[in-house]
Amino acid sequence: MPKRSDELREKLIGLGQGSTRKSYYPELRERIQQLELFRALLESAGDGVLLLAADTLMVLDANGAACRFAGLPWEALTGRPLAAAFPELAGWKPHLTGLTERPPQDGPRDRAWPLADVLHATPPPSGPPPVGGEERRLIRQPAPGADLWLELALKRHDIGGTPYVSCIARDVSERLRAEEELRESERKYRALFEAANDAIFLIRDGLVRDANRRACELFGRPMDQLTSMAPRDLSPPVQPLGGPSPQQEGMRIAKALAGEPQFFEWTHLRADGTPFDCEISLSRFTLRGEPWLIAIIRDVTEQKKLREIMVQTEKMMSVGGVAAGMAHEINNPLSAIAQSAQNLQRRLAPGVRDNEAAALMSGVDLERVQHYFELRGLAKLVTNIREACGRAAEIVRHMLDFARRSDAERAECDLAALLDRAVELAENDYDLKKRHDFRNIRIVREYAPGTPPAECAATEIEQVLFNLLKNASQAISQKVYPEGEAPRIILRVGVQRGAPGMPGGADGVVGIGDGRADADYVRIEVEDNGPGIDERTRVRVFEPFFTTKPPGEGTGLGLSVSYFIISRNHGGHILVESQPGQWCRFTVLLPAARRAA
Amino acid sequence: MNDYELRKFVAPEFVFGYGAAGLAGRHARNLGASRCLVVSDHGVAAAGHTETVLATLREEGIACATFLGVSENPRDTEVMQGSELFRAEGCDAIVAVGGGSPMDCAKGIGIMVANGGHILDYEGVDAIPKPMPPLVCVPTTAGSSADVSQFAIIRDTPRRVKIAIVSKANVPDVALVDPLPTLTKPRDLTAATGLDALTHAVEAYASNAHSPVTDMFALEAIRGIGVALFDVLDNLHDRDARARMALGSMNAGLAFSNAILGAVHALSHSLGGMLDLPHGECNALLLPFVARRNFTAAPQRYRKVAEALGVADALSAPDDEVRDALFARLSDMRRRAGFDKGLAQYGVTREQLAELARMALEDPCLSTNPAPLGARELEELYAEAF
Ligand SMILES: [Fe+2]
Repeated sequence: MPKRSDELREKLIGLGQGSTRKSYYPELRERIQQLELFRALLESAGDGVLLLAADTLMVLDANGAACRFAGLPWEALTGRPLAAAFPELAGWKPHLTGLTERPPQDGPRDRAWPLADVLHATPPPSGPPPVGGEERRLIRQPAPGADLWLELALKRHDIGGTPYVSCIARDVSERLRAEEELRESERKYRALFEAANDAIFLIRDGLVRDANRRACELFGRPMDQLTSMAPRDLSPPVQPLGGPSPQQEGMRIAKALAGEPQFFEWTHLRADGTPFDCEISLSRFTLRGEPWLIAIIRDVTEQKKLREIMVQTEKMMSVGGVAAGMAHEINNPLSAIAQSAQNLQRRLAPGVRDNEAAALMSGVDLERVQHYFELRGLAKLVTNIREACGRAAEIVRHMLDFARRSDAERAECDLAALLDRAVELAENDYDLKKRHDFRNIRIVREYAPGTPPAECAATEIEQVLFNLLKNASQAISQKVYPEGEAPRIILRVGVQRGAPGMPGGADGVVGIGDGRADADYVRIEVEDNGPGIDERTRVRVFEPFFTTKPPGEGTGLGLSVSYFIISRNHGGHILVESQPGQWCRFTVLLPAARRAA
Repeated sequence: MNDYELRKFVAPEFVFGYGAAGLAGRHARNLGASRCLVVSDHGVAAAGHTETVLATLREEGIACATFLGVSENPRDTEVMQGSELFRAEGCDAIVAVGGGSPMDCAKGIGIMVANGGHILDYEGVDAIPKPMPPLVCVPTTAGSSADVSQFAIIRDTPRRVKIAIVSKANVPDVALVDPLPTLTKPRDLTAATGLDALTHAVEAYASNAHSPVTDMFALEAIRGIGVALFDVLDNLHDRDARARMALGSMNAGLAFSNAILGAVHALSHSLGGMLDLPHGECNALLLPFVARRNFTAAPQRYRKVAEALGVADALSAPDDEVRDALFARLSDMRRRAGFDKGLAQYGVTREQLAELARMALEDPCLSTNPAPLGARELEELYAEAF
């Protein structure tokens, strides 16, 4: 074992293990291997990689993917301009700086040629400057089968004092296709969203962030207004079904956010402040990690009205049946009473042979009996019985009518003309004249042009309209009008498309027809500005014998009769709406006559 | 010792002669340089030698960056600054123009850019893993011989010691030994570097690792320098005398780079590291004392040295006479060259001697000194030179 100093001496005089001159070769070999490895990596890369001469954009080298994109073998691609690989680039020059200059060869390598300058391009004459001296370009590259979309990234490099440009070609066809599909899908869902017949809100953090067209229609507000509001801003302070709106809304939203979908009835307000009923389904979904709510708002005003009509119809049909049955049963004893009263009168009348004979046999002077009757008013009593029987019979006849189809003759009628005739009748009606002069009421006619006729029994419909006018005038007579307001009846005639149950009035669906092409119903409205009726009255107003008038003022059958004429005899609908204290509106819908094909 | 023990001889490709410096561009280009870091110092640059070399490089189309921040005893920090500049400028070759300082610094820079880390990591022998970039040396002083040697001496500033980095990787690719630049050297520098070269030759010849090949260069150097140095000092503008000095210095370099040195350099490195004293003057001061001390360990060697320096009867007189005559000759040469200060006059205190000796003991040059010397002997040598 040599001493440390001996070892040191061995190395000093060049005889140590590592005391030889150093060679670059091992490192060179390592670098060559690295380059070969790098080349192999480049070859296996999916992106095309091209090395270009900076001044001529001549291809100096290219990897396999670049050759594949260009459709040329390496030998054919190298030594040719870049446009030979990508025809779309013919005549194109990248905006990278100093492509035709060479860096200075001499002098200290100072700031005159900093790397940053080499890499940073001057901005092109227009458009944004390329980022970091890199220029990107999307080209369409013809290829067998489908064309390719290539994204080229060109970058300036300065290697060993010589400028080069690297060009990376990335096949983005698949990405572009996927993006297009995504856009397509977005368009599809947007279309679904917009085409929905229900209003849809997308809600985040309690505020509406998106709304569809139907929502704008329903709420009567433009999109930009809706998208800054909370649902509570679109609701009355208190919900008719109970609770302050903000509190109820908070509860629903909290539950929905907790993952419990909500389905409930709600009252919203239109922009003008009128309430409308709706059914809301509220559920949560997640978008980019944030909780959103989707609210589907269905306007159920129409549905509610339809349901009401159905209930009404059912009730009326059953009441009508009962009434008719009763009438039928009452009719026989009533006939017997009437018959007996008539016979009583006849058998007391002098100058009748059988009466004279019976008087003679019983020793009674008929003249004296007559005199007694007169003294005691018996003749008048019998007449009363007969008159009462007559009135009862009239009622019974009406009641029987509830359950009987009329056989009156049907014809196509112009409802506006019928309505005018009913007005005329009312103006000349003795009763109406007597109690409240119909002529003092201002009649406003809003007849939409192009209303088709309806197939109906003119006299029956006339009677119905007369009843409605009479009803209106009676109502008006019970209201004390304040200064500046005067009795008025609005008459409307128009068409309605679609189911009954749609809102009426000035903003309603009374539409302008175009002859008879597509109307489902002819719609007649009689609207008075009398005291109106409360909800409890409204739902019973068509029931037989239901009346709010003092006893003796009418039978309470007029509206019932009207109801059966319209609904049973004509397959139409009669509805009533009211704003208590403001107005009351009866609406008659008769199926529009259809032109024979 | 047998003359046929294993010995190695390493030398760079070199060109000697008038105008050799003008070949720098050609050689750098042939070595593949495209952008050179030229390492020099302000004195050399002021004399115009740096610009001469830069011009030849530019003529060959080689771009250059210049680094002049080198002190007399090149420091680790200067090496680090130079290698930073090399990297920042994207250089691929180094050209050193000047004396031992720029050349040692250039070697340090080369080591750094090829191997990374810190220059002090490579202290010692054969500690450089990777070869450095191409290095061309254009010496402007006839003395240090860094242009042909495998030595690089760097001052470790925090520790205040000179460290030796010795490796075959330190041998430059090309040395362009041109006597003409040495014409501008002032008298004292000429004297100091000349005595350093003489010390190289004497230590290499007396080295326990000498070989027949190094002996040729060493003896030839001693003979040449012994005469040429005083011819030059008589007439600083004597071109041929300058050329003989340059040749002697180069011969001494080829000898000591392979046969290595001895106690003079070990003691002198310690002084330069701790007190930043001039290398050549320290050698000149110590050489007579070390030769006297070593004489008995290698009397035949020192007789030949004495003979080469013109001491009468050097081969035949008794050992102690020759020893004293050699001591007198070496001391006389130093005085004639203009140096007569002792260590005390250089600012060294007696208290520092033990520490200086302790550091000298660590110096690799001590391993080829013909006599094994311990710390006490080294301290005694300092004391003799006090
Ligand atoms: Fe030296």
